[in-house]
Amino acid sequence: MEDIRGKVAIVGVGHSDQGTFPGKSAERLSIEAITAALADAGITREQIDGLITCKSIQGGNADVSVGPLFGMSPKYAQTLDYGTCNFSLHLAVQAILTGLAETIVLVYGANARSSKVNFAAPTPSLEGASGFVHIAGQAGMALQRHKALYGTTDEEFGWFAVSEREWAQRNPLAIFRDPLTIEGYLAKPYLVEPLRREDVTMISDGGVALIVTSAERAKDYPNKPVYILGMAEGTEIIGDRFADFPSRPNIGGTAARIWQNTGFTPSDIDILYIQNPTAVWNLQMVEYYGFAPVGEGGRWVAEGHTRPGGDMPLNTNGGQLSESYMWGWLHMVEAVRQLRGTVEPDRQVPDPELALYCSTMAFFKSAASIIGTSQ
Amino acid sequence: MTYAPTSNATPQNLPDVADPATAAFWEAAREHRLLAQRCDACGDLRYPATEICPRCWSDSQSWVPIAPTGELYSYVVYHRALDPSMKDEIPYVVGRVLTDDGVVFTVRLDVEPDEARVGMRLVASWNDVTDAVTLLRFAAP
Repeated sequence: MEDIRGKVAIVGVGHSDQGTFPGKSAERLSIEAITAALADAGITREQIDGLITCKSIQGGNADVSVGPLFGMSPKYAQTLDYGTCNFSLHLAVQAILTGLAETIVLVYGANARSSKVNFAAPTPSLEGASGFVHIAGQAGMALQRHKALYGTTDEEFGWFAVSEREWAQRNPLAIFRDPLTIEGYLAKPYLVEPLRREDVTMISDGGVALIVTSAERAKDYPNKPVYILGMAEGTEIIGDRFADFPSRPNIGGTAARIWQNTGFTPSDIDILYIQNPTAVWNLQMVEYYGFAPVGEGGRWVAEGHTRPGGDMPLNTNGGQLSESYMWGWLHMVEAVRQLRGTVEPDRQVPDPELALYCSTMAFFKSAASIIGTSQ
Repeated sequence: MTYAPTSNATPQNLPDVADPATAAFWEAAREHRLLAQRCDACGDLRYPATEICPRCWSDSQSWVPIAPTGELYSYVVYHRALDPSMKDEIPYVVGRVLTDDGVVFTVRLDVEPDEARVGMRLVASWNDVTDAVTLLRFAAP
């Protein structure tokens, strides 16, 4: 793979409020996020020549539906069904390095909460008629298997949700900020056993945007540039054809490639971000990316590494479990702000230089980016 | 065909058993026989059915009997009705079952939540929902 290290930088981040906004379209929430990102970057939309949108779950927010509100026709526009910010960022890096565009805004917008999308609607199939619904079903299969193979306990696994809540309590943007202890977690009822409500994201409305440009141009922007140092992807698009499908082995390939492409190792990473509609994603990815040995992710998180003050801060925004849904996009915003050193003092990790952001498209794709303060 | 439920499955979630692509599977299910789709060219065995073989791209596929036995790869217990149509059924157990012929089914288990164990042996059981629809389940032998 061609070395992309340090050639492209994130120069602006922004987001709308997070919550329930009836009457606001996904596209309008995208424009609110773009407005904030432009202000952060200190530029106007006339300086943007590329737009990459990420579709909302209902299918809105394509480039051609954001365009009429954006009010301009940049020379480059694309849409990904499932950006998770990582896939969108990788596309932007490719577009900038090949000269298709110079300065690109990436955006996600969604109003799935106020439009009351049913994420548990059964499909008219054998599985649907069996009541196998919602992402918590297949995620729960993966966790139950992990518990059986490796002896992972609820008390260990619960620390993913608890440590994210501890971070969220330090984040004014987070929707869920009530205290959550491990005892409180264990006292909660199961939703889809072995998962509790606290292990599963709540859908929310909002928008998130990033502005990305070449490293040369980035030096003219007011913020300290955050450089893209490496990227990797993997897939399992063949689908559910083998028993181990819920454990998502494709992530292991992506993890191997990001370390190989960059020469970094897990011990180089200062702050870790994992897109997480369920806490099972945290468990799987800390293992696949090598922060804990396979099978040991539960015991590892229970040792406190990911908590405020720990040696491997994870989802310092509160993640999708406690901050807001946003398909992982706010994880990248938080990573950039942490690397700039500009988050609230009680949340700021001391002088981070490297962040890893890992995400997945459900059971089918995975992606990782390493970003940092130096080229 | 009628949709008068004879058990607690809800009609609106039932599969289209008349779909020509899968009708043979459902017809056998009514007789409590388990089938899977097999590629006539390379023998690839699978459920659900695909239009062509994903392994060799042959378009010649048949439904064949498979062993109605297997083991529990994993399971979950629904304690909340995430979709309102499930409200009369909770708590219920859904298992990911690896059959002895290697085909995986994700279906309801006729097993109490506290009796489910990863790796337990299972045998197909059947739930006659309507005159037309019988759903595959698995139970302890």
